[in-house]
Amino acid sequence: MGSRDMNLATQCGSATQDRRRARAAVSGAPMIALAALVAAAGCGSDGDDRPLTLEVITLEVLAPACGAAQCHSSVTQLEGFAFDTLAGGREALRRDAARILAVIDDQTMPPDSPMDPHDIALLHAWVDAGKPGL
Amino acid sequence: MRALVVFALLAAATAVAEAYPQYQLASDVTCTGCHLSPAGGGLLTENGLAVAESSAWRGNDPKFLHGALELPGWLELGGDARLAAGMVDNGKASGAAYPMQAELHASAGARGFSLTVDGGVRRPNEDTGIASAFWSREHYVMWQQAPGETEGLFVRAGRFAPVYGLRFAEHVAYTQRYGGSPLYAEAYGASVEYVARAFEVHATGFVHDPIATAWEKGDGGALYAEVRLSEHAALGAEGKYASASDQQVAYGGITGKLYLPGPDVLLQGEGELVRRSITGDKATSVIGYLLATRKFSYGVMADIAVGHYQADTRVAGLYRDAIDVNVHWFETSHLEWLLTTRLELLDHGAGTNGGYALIQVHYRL
Repeated sequence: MGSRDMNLATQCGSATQDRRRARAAVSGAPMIALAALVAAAGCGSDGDDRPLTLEVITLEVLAPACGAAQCHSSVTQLEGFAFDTLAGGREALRRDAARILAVIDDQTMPPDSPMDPHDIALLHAWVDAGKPGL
Repeated sequence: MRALVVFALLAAATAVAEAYPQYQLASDVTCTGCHLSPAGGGLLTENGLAVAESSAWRGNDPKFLHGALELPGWLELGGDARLAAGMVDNGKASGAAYPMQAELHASAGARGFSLTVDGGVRRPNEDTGIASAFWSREHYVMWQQAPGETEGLFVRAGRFAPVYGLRFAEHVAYTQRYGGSPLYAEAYGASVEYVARAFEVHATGFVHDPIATAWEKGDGGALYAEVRLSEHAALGAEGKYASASDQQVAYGGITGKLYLPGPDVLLQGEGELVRRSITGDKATSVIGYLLATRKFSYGVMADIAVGHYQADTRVAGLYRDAIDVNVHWFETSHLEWLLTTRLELLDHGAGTNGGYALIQVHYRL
């Protein structure tokens, strides 16, 4: 083994199976707390109070749905679109807002996961409001 | 036709072979038990190679190029190639194929100092051209307090992903995709990391890559600390802050790991809050992921996971849940087959539902 190799012997646990079971049972609390945190996540108002701004449309709606690094981001610029920055979103929406909405509406995009209807509705509301910020 | 369009658009959707934290605790090891990097992922140690060999269905030489090339003790080489194909459903099902990764890794070191570099190809930036397809995702120098050991102090400087949260091989885990450690989260930075059997701490300061674009656009810091509460249980806390020109994002959360020796199941969970500040608005997201893993005979490992993502806590119903089932088959220590499936429900199924079923093949050089 080279100097950077690790010592196999240090990787072997020596406790008995019973000890492991007892400790595992005692230490289940973190998993319960974690589940509680996740379960607590269902709150929110019935309406959509998000501001109709270019910042919200780009960074809160399009970036998580379309602007992953391997998709329409400044890393790859697929189809010339980058939704992961405000500047990129502004440029894309200025150039082709109608096409962007069309491919979202007909479920061509995003291809890997459905886009939330709340987000689609907000996009349309922003367009109907005259695309503020663009 | 639609399948072809999806293929063309997604053909370069990439992923990166990272660690399999499913092995942690179940095997009584830290990430450094199997990987050279204190963050896990990438090149394997001698023990990591042995674990890969013992976990596989068929035995073969786990070393680089099956041992055909004898390397000096100061040099480690490796590589990963991955691709996936199958069906995706965003409300309308279609075929898809994803060339995911083609990378070579090298690490050279002596007397506690090492230089780690990887290089590979990804989909080129359509604006800047084919040259952008060739890149180095990670390159950093590292000093290790106890060379060859799994514990101690590690100091790194260069381009790497700030250590944050659970780092699954599957980057589609909600806490990674929507949290603080998605694909291409590498940045330039410096880290101080301490790994011991009882606890580990990773502190990283970073700036975004000013040359090659990456997911991370901000400058800031990340902290991850994990305490082993017992031999088979760990609790972690995470925090990250990144300030970019158009937004400031603060991340925080907890992680938990629990190995159940009886059923031989490892549970791993992460709950995360993300606070995003942009001009005129502040939004909070809630993200959770809980994964149960069991290893079986014949090189098979299965995961069942549930994920939750609420994009904005102010809007009722703006959330999605996922049920993931993955079946890994480590045919050899170099060859992994993975059936990965997801059922995704919007607003508890009130919205359009989706998912995918993909076969992935991963070859480790």
